[in-house]
Amino acid sequence: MLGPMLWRCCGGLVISAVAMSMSLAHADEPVAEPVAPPPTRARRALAIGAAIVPGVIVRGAGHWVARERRTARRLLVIEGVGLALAAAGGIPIGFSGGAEETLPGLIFLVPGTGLLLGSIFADAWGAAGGAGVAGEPSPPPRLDAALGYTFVGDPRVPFANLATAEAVARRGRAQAAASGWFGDGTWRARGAGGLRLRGPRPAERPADTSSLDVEMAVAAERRADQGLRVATAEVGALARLDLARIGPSLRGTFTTLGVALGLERIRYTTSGAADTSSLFAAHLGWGFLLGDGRARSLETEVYYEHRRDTLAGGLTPPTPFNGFVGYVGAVTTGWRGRWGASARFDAGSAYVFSLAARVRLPELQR
Amino acid sequence: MRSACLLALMAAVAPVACTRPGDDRAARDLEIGTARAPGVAVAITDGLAHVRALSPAAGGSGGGAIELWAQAPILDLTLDLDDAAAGTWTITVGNALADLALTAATPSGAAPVTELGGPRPTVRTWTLDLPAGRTSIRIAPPDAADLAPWRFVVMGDIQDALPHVHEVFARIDAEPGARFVISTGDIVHRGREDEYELFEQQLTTLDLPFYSTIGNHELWGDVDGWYRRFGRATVHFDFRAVAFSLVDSASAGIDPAIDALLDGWLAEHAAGLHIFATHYPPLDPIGVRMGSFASRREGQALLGRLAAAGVDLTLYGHLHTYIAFDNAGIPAHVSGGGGAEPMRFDGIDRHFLVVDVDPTASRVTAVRVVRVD
Repeated sequence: MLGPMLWRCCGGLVISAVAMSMSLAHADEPVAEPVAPPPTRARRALAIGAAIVPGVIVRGAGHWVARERRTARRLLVIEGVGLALAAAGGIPIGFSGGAEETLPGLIFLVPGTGLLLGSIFADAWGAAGGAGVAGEPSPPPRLDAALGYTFVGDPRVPFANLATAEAVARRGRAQAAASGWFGDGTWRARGAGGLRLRGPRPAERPADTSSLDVEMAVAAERRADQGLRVATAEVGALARLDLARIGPSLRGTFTTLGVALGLERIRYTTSGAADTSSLFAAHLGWGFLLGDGRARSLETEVYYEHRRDTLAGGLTPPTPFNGFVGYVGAVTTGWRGRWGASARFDAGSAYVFSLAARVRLPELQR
Repeated sequence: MRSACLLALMAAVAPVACTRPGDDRAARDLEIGTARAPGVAVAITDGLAHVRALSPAAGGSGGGAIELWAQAPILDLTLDLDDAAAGTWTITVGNALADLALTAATPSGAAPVTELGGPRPTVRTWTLDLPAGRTSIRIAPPDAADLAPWRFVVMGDIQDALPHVHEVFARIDAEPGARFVISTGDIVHRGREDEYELFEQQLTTLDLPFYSTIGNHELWGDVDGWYRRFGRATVHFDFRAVAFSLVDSASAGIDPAIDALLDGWLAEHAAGLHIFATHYPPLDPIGVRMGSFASRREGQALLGRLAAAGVDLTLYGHLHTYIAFDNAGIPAHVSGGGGAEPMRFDGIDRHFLVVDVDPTASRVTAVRVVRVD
């Protein structure tokens, strides 16, 4: 009963959260801040401090001190929307002790939390004058392929070194992806197909990187040493909002919000038993661009991943919440022409560090 | 700049993300069950009791007193005395079965033992005259080897309902034939000293011993409060042909050192009746909730090992409700009905489980839910 209920809500989730924040901010298009004298170095330092205290509580405080008042107000509105969504979803879940009937509230809690967290980073970035170093976006490549290595720091698993491979191909609105890893008696393969509902398409140089994608994916995994076979099927959506829509000081930054619902089938090969489990995953991220978006570019994102089925597991803070949280991470991808490299670090109940060499086609023109 | 940002992020999350948050407890478990004082050393097999006090008589007159807190129905211990410590010793066991008997084998034969009873059923005291040298002591009930069907009680998650938990205990006391209580942890809310004191006061109203592992709420405060009072967070014992493994998952996972112990217990009892209890369900029966181990992969691996070893029953807490389900083909019960803020809409509040086992048939014959409210 729960799965269909969540899924009915899922379709509108990402769109509604992002659209709500955008419309409340009255920012359908990139906007121009009223001309104000550039902040002095002292004021800039003060603004950075204000983005932390009281910015963590009152979003936009950093921009306010930096005299970017319109963006400050919009960040405050986004915080309000985030609080409202988080409260709408989180209070029933908390009050009920996590009752199944209230779990669809995750549909509101997750994007609300995303807006709350993303606006902290955005305020700090803008207050620090990040727009001055921000880069330009690159068009999505038709093909992005990578080979890499992953180190898993987890004393509970009988492997630590994995070889990885992934490829994403795009044609028009359609997207197909394949990825996998193997090593030390274990492997995983994942295939996905998706559709870009909104946003830049391959080879289109975007003025605005905002996008909305939906995806279906299946994965299979073998853990020979542990006698496990795991199959997963997921349906999800990922939205990206170009924060230049909120204010010019946020040019070159973005926030991401994704949700997925799925099923996981675990087969215990030693005993022959099997379990089926439902899966809810969410992604909340904030990132920035550097470079010219042509010859050189770099995109970095920090994120919270609300899931515990990956190699990273979930965080275990010494609080009552250590039963219900996912993991955090950061990924950075740099390109120089056709060639690129990426690094990812995830921290949950395990550390996972990945490096990959990448190639993209077609090569971008200088 | 970008490298610095990434490094800063890694530094920020590193203290939060710890791959072995329970390693201190795993190490500390191994220190439980041994104690020394001038002229005397106590060692309890498998650390199944905590030595709360070891007090040789003042003035070197010989003899003394030992106070233990039991975490299992049967205790085996050795007492090494030098010449000055030989004499009359008083041994008191808290959290004891009411019908425990003590036998002692000294270098010169069986020691005379005087049973002094106790102020309540779960406190037993004996005196015995001991010579110098090593004395082997066994404290066990008369039915320790009885293979007739028997029963025990399971409960978990008392937390902030401590002031009222005596009502649950009264209902347990009224349950005929139960030998002891197994707890899946969260006996306190914030791990404060006054909560542990209140818990011990409340235990005086329970006529059965209460063997428990710990939950995440014990970690809110200084977990030393647990160790100073109750001993190991992970215990394994056998009673009447049934093996019990009460395993510490308070950090939403099991430390690899405890996993290694568990592997030994699983191998030892693969052919017999084996009951596994821990605080967190390895996999939440409602997967989207994630009220389970921090890593699904760890939970899956654990269940695979339990299933391969033929574990007969798994018992969990953490979720303040009652759910019966199967995991890896093993019957599973989540029972968090000790009184902590209850889950809504589930139609059940305070409760406990009564589990019937038949050692001869090597099976769990019934798991019955007893509602308190």
